[in-house]
Amino acid sequence: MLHIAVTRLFRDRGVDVILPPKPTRKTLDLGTKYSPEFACFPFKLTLGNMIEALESGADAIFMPGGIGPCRFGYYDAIQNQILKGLGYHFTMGSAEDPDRLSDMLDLMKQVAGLRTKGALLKLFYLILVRLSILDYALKRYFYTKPREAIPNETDMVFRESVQLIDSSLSLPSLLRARLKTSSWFRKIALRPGVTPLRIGIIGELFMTVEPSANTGIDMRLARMGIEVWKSVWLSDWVNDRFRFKPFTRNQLKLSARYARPYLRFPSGGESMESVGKTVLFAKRGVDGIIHIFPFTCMPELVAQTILTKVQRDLDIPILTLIFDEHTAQGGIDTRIEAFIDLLERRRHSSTFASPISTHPNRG
Amino acid sequence: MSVKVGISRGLLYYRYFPLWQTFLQELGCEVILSTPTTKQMVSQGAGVAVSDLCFPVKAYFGHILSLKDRVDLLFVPRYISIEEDAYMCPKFLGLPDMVANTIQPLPPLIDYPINYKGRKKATESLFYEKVGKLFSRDLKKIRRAYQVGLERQGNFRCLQQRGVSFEKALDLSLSSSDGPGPQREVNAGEPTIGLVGRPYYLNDPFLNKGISEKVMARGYRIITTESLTETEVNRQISKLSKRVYWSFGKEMVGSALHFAGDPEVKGIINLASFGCGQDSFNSEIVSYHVKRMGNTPLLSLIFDEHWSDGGLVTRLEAFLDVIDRQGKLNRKGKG
Repeated sequence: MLHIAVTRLFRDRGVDVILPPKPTRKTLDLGTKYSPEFACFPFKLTLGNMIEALESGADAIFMPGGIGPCRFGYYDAIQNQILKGLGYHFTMGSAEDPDRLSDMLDLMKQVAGLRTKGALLKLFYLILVRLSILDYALKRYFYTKPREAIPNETDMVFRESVQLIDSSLSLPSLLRARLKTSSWFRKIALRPGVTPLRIGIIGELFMTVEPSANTGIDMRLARMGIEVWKSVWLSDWVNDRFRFKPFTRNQLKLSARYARPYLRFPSGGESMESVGKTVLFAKRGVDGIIHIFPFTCMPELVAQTILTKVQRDLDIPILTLIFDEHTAQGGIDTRIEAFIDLLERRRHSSTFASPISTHPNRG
Repeated sequence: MSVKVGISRGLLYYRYFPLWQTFLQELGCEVILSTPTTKQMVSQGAGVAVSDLCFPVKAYFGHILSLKDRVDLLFVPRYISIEEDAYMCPKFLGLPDMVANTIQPLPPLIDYPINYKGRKKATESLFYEKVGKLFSRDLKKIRRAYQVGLERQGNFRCLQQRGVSFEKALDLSLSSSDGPGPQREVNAGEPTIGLVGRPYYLNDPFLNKGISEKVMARGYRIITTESLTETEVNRQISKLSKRVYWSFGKEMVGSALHFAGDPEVKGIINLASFGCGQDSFNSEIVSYHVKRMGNTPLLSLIFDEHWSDGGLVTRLEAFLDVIDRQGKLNRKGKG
């Protein structure tokens, strides 16, 4: 999603953006080969991505750095060290503190070669708006997909809206794109009286957002007829830090309020969101939670430890999926399916007498 | 009757115990310390913990389990950051919450934060004032207790920096006789091995499977991360392109670089946890720079809660053999 939000805008301003090829098995293998053994999955994937980008002729890499309890802030230094060790020549741009607007702007200045602050702010704002509209389309997709009457109509609408948003490069056209997206989705015929199973996906940002990292689990759940709620959205994540949409609720604060009885201080990463949103989702009536994070992720391990209690207190099933370079889609699918069966049975045993009825969308 | 405060012999105990104990005792509390780590404790701890947590945290849970029924209060402070440019591990940030949500029933926790970062600062002195108020209304008394604690803590670290072992430094600093402690040990020509790790790995013989005894039994002197002063660490760290922003990570990397530049240190052993996020990066930085700085042999060991130490012994022996042979070759070359 991020690359859709960014690429066109930079191209429009005369920067030749080399999009690393979509991450594949090979990307991951490359990254794994040169990474420290216990580095986390996002590190390995991004390293592989960088190698592929450098191979196809890039001469500058941008990676936000930072300082925090989580490892992410040190990615740039280690990746720089590894890549230089492999003999690549390039410059590494990084932001001192990605949570600070001025540092992010500096980073963008290096990339886009813009001089004035006004132009930078405008570009930054456009990226954020594009992100939020893309997220909006995705949210509508997750709501509509399990309820659609004509198979695959939602997918088509979603694809079209993403294309439309991608080609809108100014604020007015983006606002128009949002309105259009909204009306397109509204026109999709829904099956009456369907209450699909609801699953909340929580966990680490990169793993929940990047389809090549989580084997596209959210989309697959949607296609199986499940309504997906997510705890972290890229646009919310950015908005919590930069407040570009001042009237949208700060999700981090919201999570902190709900997490309060369990976790009183954010222990880095998305631990607060994971705990808080689990409580929130459980109160709003999701059937189950899927917790996704990379192997050895420290903040999410804290969250996982705490979630064992939340799970008992609120009586909400949680499936923990830990990803690393060995994860195969088959294993994930088996576990998801078993989990869904469990949720379905739970729902029916509590509301109806008849035990099992299969969802029409699931073969 | 005095209040019994439980302190578990794990994690930050190995860094801050003199301060904790002195402070609590000065305020009239009875400090109950859990026994040294045992196999049973770790199994019990691992039994309640999520499987991917690191070994020291599982051991910590074991200590809490063994303490919880014997005490009125449990001392589990939330160490968020102890200096302005560094954080602790995320697991320390969430430690009281993890303990409270894993183990039940539990006596009340003393879990105030210590934080030098961000807008919500909670300095160390503030922390001890808060803790002190639980036991006494006399602010002067609390501050005095804190001062005495700091003094002993200072002595303790000072002794460690002179190369005194953890247990000895603890004894000496807590027995209040203030004489001049032992001087920094003079090296009597024995070859030295540098041990790099976090305080709890260096000093808990159960966690590190008695590695220091094993090395010393081969006739080597040991020098650890803890024997370096903050200035020494910072001097090394400032050489890096980006400062390590974890307190213990900084010490580990700094001491490894220091050892690599010290001609007396014949080999470096790096201790890390299985699945430790920070150590995965720290070890990478250490091995990269040690390789670059010369030919000090480096052994990286990763520990977890599996018992057998056969693998450890094999690797340690091979490593020490290499160092022995290097020493002999050097002597031949000179003679």
